[in-house]
Amino acid sequence: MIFSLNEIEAETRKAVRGAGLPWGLAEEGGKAVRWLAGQGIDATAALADILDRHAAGGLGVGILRDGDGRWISPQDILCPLTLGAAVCDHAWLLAEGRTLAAGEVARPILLLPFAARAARLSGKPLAFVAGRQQVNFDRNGAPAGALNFADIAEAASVTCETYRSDIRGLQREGLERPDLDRPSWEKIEAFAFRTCVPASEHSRRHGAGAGLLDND
Amino acid sequence: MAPQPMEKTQHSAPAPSDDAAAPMRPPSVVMRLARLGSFHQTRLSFMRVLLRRLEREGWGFDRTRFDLDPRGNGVAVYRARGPKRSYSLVAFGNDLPPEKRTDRVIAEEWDASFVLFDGEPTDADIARLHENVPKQEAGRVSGRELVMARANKSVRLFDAVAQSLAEGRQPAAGDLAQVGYLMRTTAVYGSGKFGLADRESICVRPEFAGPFQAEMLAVYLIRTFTFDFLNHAARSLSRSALALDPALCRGLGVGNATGLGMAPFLVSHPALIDRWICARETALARARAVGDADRWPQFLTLLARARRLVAGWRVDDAIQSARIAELGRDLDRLADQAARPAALRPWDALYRWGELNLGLEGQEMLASLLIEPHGDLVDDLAEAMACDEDAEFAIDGRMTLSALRDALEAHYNFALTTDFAKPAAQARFWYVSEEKLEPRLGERGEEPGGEREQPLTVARDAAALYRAAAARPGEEHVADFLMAHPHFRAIVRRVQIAARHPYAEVQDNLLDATMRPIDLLRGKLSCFGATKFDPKSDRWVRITMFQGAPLPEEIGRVDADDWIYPPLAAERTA
Repeated sequence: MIFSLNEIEAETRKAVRGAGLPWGLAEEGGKAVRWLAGQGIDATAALADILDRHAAGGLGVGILRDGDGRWISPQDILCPLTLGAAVCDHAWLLAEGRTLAAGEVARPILLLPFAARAARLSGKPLAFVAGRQQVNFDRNGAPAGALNFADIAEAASVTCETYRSDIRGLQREGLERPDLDRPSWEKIEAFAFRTCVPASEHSRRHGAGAGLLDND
Repeated sequence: MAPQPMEKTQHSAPAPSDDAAAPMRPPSVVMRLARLGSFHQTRLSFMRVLLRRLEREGWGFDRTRFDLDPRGNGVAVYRARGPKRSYSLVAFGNDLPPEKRTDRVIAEEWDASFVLFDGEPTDADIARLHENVPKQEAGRVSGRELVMARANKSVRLFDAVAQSLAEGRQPAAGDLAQVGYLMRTTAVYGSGKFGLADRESICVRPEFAGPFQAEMLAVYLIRTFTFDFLNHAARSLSRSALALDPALCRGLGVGNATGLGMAPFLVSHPALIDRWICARETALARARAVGDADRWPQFLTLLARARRLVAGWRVDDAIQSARIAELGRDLDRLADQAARPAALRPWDALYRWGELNLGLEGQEMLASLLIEPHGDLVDDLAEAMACDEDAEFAIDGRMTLSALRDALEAHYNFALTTDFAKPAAQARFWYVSEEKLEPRLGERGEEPGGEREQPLTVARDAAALYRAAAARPGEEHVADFLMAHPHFRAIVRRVQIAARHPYAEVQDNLLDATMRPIDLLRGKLSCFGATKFDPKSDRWVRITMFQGAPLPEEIGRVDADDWIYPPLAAERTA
């Protein structure tokens, strides 16, 4: 299924909200899946999975620091949108040479857009490590080399820190339209639909302000 | 219901003593709903910007296909050729049964449907588009299509004019002026909707760098289609039918019916809206700063023409009729006041007089008129109206809560001083219906759905954020606050945008019992260049676009920038 980047962002944003997350994280989710799609990566399965887990109560938007200062979930495992937001919000620490570290996170592929943005915000190249995978970004947030990241269900740990040398990433247009997985997209649509209100005769007549037939 | 109360207050700071630009009107004045709902078009409006470009760059226009059957079914293609690229409006005519005609989002069929194609379509493209475009939202288009739209005939006008032409008579100009258009669009989509090209893929082209330029080009071409569709209908009635006189064509625009769907745009694009309003206010400030009265005669002529425009602005809505009547009286008094320019800073002096003596419609029309003769001073501002919204998205987590509270106090005072415990303050909720995803406005507590409301709850959220932030240490970083309070993320983002972009936020509570969605619609539509605002309710409005504009074949032969205000009586033809 081919969609514009705008459609992907809008539907994803509504879906994240439909799964019960706050609008601010819904915006982040929309931008994240959009960024990945623009890079040619279909993250709909990853997103559908975390929304299912949110809806079932297995994932939440909570985030704490443990005794070592690592970010962890008050439940079992971190939501990648929550962790990604925290990473970007703390980007200034990267510029100061600090390492941002977290424990277990679900669907770490969804962290890539946040890592890219954190690099840009810090103004420094960034090394993003999730489990056994690493992606480096240049100071503008462009990935160094091809963006190869396996969409694994969980990573045991995540770190973001300034990369040791000043790399130059691949400047892509970021305007690809990948063919999205149909079942995952339909799941996203179903979550998005939860943000709608069921129609009623009253709503049909009065809600839009144009009567049943507007004609001149 | 009483007409809007007039705001007669001096908002401007005292005039500076030198020739520096006049102060800009503050957001607390400009971004009020009542004033946004009183905006008129200016020379920075998107239609005006488009036509200046078409003329400056010598764009050429032709019709490359017109295959409609006698009932109006078929396809037509209109080509616009710019210095580097061509674009084609592909139009599909339809013989629509009258009982199916509606402007509502819930419509399923229309008199005509359109796409603006990137380049020149092949037969295969047209076949693909024929399968999809007449279905509009139920079809799919591709990244090779930039804009998609649909339009319905004016029931009042279309058939009557076709009949008249079929009988060998041109219609009376007065009859056409009553409606102002033969067809009206009920949606004009761009920016990736339904598969269309994303804005990012075309905004690198100079012709589409400005906001909504592709949409405006599509509507401009649709206007030509409406004349051809009409002439075709007349010829189907009688082979000896006349074609509509070009002078009469020029007096017609494309209508548009807009409802709640457009309202959230002003809220969901804060940094972009700031650019539009900031450009407009900067233009006004530059005009006010002009020290001499060299262009006063031009201004007076424009004012006289504006009075003709207002005299021809007739609507059924009682509230708007009263406002138009008051505007007419205000323009009379403005003409008296403006008869002799003040010796010092005459433009600024006239604006300040207007603040004290005119209603909102009058003040905003005066603002448009002050800007109008100063194109060489302000037209460059059109290039500052686009915005890379992605670059505005990131939250500054390092900001402290005390700085956040300062920003709230500076930009959200209207929210902080609202008592949300009062039912009236949260009387409404914005929602999207399951029925064709139509945006609607509900009455909280009286109907279900409030818990699924759309994020237009800015004022309430700002007030709640302020209270929550005040309960924390001032030196705490926003980043840590948001970890503990994730539900404030959206409003924190907005507050930080507003701190960088002063005109980003509508300075009124959008949940209030007295809120009029039409004020949001008119604010945006005025930036497009719409005229003849014709409210059908407090949340539904009709407008006219490009009415009076040169026809495509006239670009380069007549002034492409002097069509908003009707000519004075002595220059009028027929």
